Amino acid sequence: MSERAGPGGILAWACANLALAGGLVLLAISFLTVVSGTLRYFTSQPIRGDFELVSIGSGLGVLTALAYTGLKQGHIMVDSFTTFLPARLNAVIDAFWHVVWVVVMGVIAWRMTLGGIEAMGNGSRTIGLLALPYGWAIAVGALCFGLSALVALAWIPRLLTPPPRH
Amino acid sequence: MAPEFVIALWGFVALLGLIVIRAPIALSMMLVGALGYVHILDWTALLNYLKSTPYHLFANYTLSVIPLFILMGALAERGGLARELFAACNALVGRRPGGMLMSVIGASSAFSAISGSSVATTATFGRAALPELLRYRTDPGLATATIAIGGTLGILIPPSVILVIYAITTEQNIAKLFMASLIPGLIATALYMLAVWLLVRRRPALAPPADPMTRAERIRAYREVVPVLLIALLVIGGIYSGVFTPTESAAVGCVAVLVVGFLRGDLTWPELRAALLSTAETTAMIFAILLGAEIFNAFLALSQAPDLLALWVTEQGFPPYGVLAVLLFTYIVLGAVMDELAMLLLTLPVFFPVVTGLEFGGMNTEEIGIWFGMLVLCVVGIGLTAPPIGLNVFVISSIARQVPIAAIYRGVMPYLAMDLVRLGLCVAFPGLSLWLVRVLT
Repeated sequence: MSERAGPGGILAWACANLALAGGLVLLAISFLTVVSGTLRYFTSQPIRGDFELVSIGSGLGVLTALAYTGLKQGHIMVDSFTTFLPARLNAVIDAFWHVVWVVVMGVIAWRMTLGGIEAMGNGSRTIGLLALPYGWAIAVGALCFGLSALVALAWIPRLLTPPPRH
Repeated sequence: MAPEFVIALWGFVALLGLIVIRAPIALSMMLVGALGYVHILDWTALLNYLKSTPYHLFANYTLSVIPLFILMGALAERGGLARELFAACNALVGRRPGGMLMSVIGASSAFSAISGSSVATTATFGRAALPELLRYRTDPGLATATIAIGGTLGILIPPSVILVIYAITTEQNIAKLFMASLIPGLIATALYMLAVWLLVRRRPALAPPADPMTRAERIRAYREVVPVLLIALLVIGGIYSGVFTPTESAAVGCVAVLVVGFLRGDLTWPELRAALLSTAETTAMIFAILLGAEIFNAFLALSQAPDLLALWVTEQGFPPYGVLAVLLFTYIVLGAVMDELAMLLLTLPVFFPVVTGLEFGGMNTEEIGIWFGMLVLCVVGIGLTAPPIGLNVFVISSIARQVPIAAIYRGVMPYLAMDLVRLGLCVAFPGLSLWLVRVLT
């Protein structure tokens, strides 16, 4: 599959930059944890709600990575049982699973959108000192699953056209 | 057979069937889990379950250790830390025949203390050490195999993403598991070096020595490696002493690696960008499988099959070591054809209650849990390098395209023999896994 070029343009740009933003959030929570731990050690006054911030931050870091991984075909599958099949057929099978992936990611995005709206409506907050509202983060998650569905959709026609011969 | 078993069994059959016909593993688990869930409950329950479960699974303090450990490894990979470890090991033993291969193993072992992933460790040394090894005419199959096997140390020596997953799935203490895995990890390192020594003693041409270094060069290599070793000590020592939680130690490691890499000028923005993107790819791949396993295991728990199976095995009065042997053999077979992470997530909910329900020479349940974790690490390590599907072999093969994959698998064989020796030692002497835990807690 690697010889096929993946989706490009604005979709690839969005996936990569979303993932980079998530990576920076991971770096930020690393710094936050270090500062908070140092403060706790020397002054017994850690940063308020550091656990909640780390939880939300790592959640965002992972969710924002989903679409990029789809773009890079990073979701593991086992191809050793089907190597004897013609490459063309395997590409069709892969395209089929991309269709299923689109549906599953789409359903999760739909449900998480509702979950996010509900959480924002009933004012769900994290348990802890900061009691942060997190409905918005579920909504961001829904967006990430939605983008993953789009990326898989964009892969389908690329899998169905034979790769260029060298 | 009880209906619970029938439905759970069908679930497993369907899952393996989907995996065989190229469905992504995460997707297979989500599909089968969701259908099983609907079969036992109904659609409304599933749709409600999906509203918030994915978010709460991802935004979880305990699980935050996974992306952070992966980020630490990715930063270390791009920050040139592996290169310095390899140079220092070479200064120590590089002039001996086989010395460069031993350096790869020693450097991988040390690097594993700042990397929790076998794939990252393999890829790192594929870039940092392989060109050198080939330049000195090391046998290409053996050189690549040594890097692949050194990569398995990434999960044997703490920190370890696989061990975090084990801890979370079986509700064990992560810090204690990290303590337990140090001695088996060091035994693995020693056994791999022994394998190199035995191989090279018979056929010195397999791994010619490196050029001698001057005294000044050697001192320079030792001096350069000090910050790396300090970071490793900080990360592992912090967890062992109880000063850091695992998440904190990962955060400290990330910051330390970032600062060192930045000060040395190795971590430029393009390198940092690449590290962040590779972190994204690995993390999302793991979490997609975690989400799949969450859904599949929700179905499995609803079926109650795991608990019933554990009860049944205990009541039959099978010899405990016989049961253990069957489980470990299953892991070796499954690990040879399947992704190890998915394998653990799928089987642990079933295997773990079975094992901890048995009697092993007076160990309590927690000790059995820790000990079984170490045995699982052994078999996962084997699965990562054994044919036909050894993930680490694939990784090194994608870096060294000129080396036929069969040659890599041939090179891996002596090391796999050592893995079996270590598995035997760990089964026979639970103290190897438990001693450090008892001392430190």
